[in-house]
Amino acid sequence: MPTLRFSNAIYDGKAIDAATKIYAGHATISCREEGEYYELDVSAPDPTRAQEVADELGNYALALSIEYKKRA
Amino acid sequence: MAKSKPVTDSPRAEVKIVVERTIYPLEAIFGAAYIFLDRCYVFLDAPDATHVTVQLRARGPMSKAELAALGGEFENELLAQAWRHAIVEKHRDQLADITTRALAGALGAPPLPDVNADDFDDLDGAEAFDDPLGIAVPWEEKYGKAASETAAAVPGPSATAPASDLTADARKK
Repeated sequence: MPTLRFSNAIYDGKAIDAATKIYAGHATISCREEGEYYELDVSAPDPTRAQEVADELGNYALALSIEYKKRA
Repeated sequence: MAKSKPVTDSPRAEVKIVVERTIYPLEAIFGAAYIFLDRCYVFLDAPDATHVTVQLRARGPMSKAELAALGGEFENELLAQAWRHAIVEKHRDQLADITTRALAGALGAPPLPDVNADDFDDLDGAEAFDDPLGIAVPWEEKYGKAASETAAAVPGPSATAPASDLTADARKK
């Protein structure tokens, strides 16, 4: 089960929430805050599929974080 | 300084780049990362306040040389973004000034003030149409009669003798 660790110095919390909602239909995603990091567990019946969803979710969260910071 | 290190022992090919934030601002790192999002999986981390690690993971199989090339391209893009960011910061005031002038010019010339009916209230009828030079008199009233009299005094072609009479006079002579 892949685990993503997003630093809150880089990633926007709202962007991670939005990305999680987008990919919630493709895998089971649980999110929690651990200090300066947001940690996401991504699980799916197929491990390859779970890794793929985690990678795409990471890209999407980064893109949204960059766009949010540009607007701010 | 940015140091890239291809990691090939991982089950998925990836390259890690450590970037110093004192040289490359976060905006430049974001700009370069955004450009590479469609080519590979990009993951950023901030292990401390002065460094950012960039992890580029291949979307498919990739050789060590290809990974090294990917890392090199990212570093080049990082440098371009940092330079661009520096230029924008240096000329921010000029850019804002030029944009403001362009927008103001696009609006066009300021409109003329609207004329309301109230603006003529202080002109009463007599003063408004006082015309000592007769400018407001129509041309027909001023010159129409004189022109018709002139036209009657000057004989036209019909008043002259016919050409046949002239030839008859010449024969008599």
